[in-house]
Amino acid sequence: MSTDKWDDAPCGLLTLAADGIVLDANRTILQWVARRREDVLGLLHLPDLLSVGGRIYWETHLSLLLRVDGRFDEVSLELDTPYGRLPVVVTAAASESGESVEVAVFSAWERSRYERELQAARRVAERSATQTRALQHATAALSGAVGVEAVATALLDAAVGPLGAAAVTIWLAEPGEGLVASGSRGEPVDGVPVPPGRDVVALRAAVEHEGRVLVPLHGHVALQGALSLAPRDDPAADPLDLEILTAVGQQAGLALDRAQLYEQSASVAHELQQSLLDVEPPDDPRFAVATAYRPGVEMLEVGGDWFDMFLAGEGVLALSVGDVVGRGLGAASAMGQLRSAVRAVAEPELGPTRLLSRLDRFVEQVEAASMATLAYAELELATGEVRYACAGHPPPLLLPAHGEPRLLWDGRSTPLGAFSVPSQRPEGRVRLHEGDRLLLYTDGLVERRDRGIDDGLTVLRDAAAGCHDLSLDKAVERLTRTMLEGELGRDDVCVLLVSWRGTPFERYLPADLRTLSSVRRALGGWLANRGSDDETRRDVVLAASEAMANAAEHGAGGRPDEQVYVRAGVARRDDGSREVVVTVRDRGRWRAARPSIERGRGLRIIEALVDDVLVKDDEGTTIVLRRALRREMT
Amino acid sequence: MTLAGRADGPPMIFAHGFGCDQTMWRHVVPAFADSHRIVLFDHVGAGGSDLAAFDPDRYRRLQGYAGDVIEILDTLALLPAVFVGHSVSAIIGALAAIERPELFDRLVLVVPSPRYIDDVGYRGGFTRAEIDELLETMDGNYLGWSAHIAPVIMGVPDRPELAQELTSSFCRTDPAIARHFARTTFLSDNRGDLDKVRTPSLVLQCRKDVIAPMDVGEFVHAHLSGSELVVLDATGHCPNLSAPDQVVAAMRRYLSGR
Repeated sequence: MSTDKWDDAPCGLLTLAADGIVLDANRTILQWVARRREDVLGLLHLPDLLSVGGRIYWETHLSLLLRVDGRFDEVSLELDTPYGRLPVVVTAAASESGESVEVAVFSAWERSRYERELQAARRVAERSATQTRALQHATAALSGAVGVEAVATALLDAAVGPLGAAAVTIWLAEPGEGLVASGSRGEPVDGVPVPPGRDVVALRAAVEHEGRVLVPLHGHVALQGALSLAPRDDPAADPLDLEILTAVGQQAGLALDRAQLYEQSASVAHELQQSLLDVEPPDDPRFAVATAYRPGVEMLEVGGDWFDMFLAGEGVLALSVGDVVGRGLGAASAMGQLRSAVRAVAEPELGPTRLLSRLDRFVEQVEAASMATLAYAELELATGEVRYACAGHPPPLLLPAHGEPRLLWDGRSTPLGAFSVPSQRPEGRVRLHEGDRLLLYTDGLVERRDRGIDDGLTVLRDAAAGCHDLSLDKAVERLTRTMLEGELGRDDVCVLLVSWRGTPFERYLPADLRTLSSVRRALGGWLANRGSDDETRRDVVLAASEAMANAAEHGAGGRPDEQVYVRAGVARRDDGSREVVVTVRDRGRWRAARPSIERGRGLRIIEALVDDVLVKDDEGTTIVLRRALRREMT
Repeated sequence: MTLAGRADGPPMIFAHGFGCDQTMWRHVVPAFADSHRIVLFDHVGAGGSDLAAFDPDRYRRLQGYAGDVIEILDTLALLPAVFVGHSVSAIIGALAAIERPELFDRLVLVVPSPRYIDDVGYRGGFTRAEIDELLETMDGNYLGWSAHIAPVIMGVPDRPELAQELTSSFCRTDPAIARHFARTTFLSDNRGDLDKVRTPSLVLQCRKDVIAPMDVGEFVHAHLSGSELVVLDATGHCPNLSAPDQVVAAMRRYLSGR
């Protein structure tokens, strides 16, 4: 410096060559760095006087700025001094020619401290914002997860997502087995050694462990599991945040608690419902029944649907299908109560109307069953007469053996225990013919998110028409499959399909055949009632007469004290058409030595009249004749 | 991205290093504009690049930046290019050439360093603590690099043109991205990748460079098969600004000697 005045200026002043060599320096700066003038001038570069960070900064930024822009202003740097680093603010300007650079250096102790505090505050704020974001994300994912597996999945996804891990493994505590690996991301599920459960139990926070971070997942009372995260190894990755992982671990432990409780309750409800629906139909040849129960897609959520069938009195089959409001254990147990109540209050001669009134009184006592809906029907097995009523429930569907399916819209009233229950609920009546079917079901079958109930009922009717020729079991299977196809997240569904077979024709006649003509007339009338055409009726009656005569003569030996049994019924063939089946049985013992010419002739006559003949000899002789109920129209 | 030079010339792409932008090639580019198709670009976050394109995950590794170089060359569909990269971009170019060798004719690696931090048997020049110190220095200054500096410059009445230039350009890097880039640059270790490079290369080393010292240049040369090492009589880490004539001369000699 040329004058003493500049030498003692309250700031450092330097002149540099283009490459940064110090050409001149005033006393102030030399005092700051505690160096002698002769040790600096022409020997050191300005960056040599800076801390390492400043040196790199000079090389990568400041020297470039000087060359391109000819100056830089107010840059915070630190001088390397024997007393430590001295914060300074530096401004530099290159001369016009670019051959030299004038530099002014101001000490910045106070300002630097202030700035550092600002920066620190800013870093804290940024970190806390990042933490909050990550925690919020993880919490939202955990609280949205239903079931243990879903919680584990949410946790794994959060770990490699917002929590910033490269890979992660989760172990869940299994009773009696300790920690069991149950999932991972970015590494094989059994690739990380299982942490000793005893050690994890003692952990209260996330810890670094063998280059990874181990997070305990504590539930309220016991360890639920552990999480082990591998940090990212890329250079710019932030380290895993123990604080945030501890917080997420706490949340996850409680989420696992919740999920476990939930699954327990769901599985109890599920078992309860299954056992309630496991019902044996009454044994009676006059009807057949097929049922289906399809749990909702979300298996954890049991609904309150049921079906049931029982004898309400001698020869009266009671059918109920209903739906209790709500889901889960509560709904399942309310369903059980209400279903039992239906059985308990049903009695001969009561009928649907009065049965529903009794149930209305019942649900006044059982809050959880209130507003349940129900379709109830009683089928007179001898006549095919049906009395039915629907309390807030979708209408039964009649599938006649001949003709189009139709919905039964009579006998409708409000759900059980509804606010305005009519003093007398109405009921409907319908007469089943032999082979007719009646379908009861819960609303899950027809109601879908993507279509209203009216459309659903139309679709059901069409689908039922397509099941006309199927056996009962297959018809139920096809119907539920067709109706529920492609439906996601659907409700529970209960379906009950009953078929009335009608009353069979049954007679005993004495072996002297004195009542044969009256039996023939009665069989003819029975066949006419079952819808057979004249020709079929004539043929079947003739074939049956021949079989009865044969049985009386050869089996019973014509003795009046012996009897011949005849039975006729209608059965469904595999192709869906119906046939009449006549069975004739004698109790006489077939004797091989007995001449069988007469009997052989009789058989040939019979064979000509029916579609199929089967002769069985054991304790007596049984002949089974089959013939299509109606001649095909050709 | 800037396209310049001879339209039908062989392509030459320039990649700037950490802390700058494409302006740093201003003294080198003119020497090749008559003979080459020149491609200049700013790394994402630097200079005139689209800050919104910055994805912290993608740029966590230098491979992310190498992907950008490949993308540029793919988009332009040029003949195999001469890649000229400064400092960290020399390594970025090497990574790109490993992945897609057919895009590259030659590599010119200006003051490259595959690892800045000392290791057992390797002297990168810095300790981890010193790199942290750099990050601290950057934190202390980043406000100055954007809006704040322009009014100060405008207050210099005798050089009004400066204000214009500074507000528009040089070394203006988004502070958050610059910090991220600094960590990726100084904490990466790409020593193991050098052996995989099959493209012929020229290594330019400065005689005195604290960022990439002599040892590092020799290390790079030793591990790059088919490389030539030229030591420039220059000080500092940016010979393309401090000694552009030497850089141009070395490049010319190298490229004509095929």
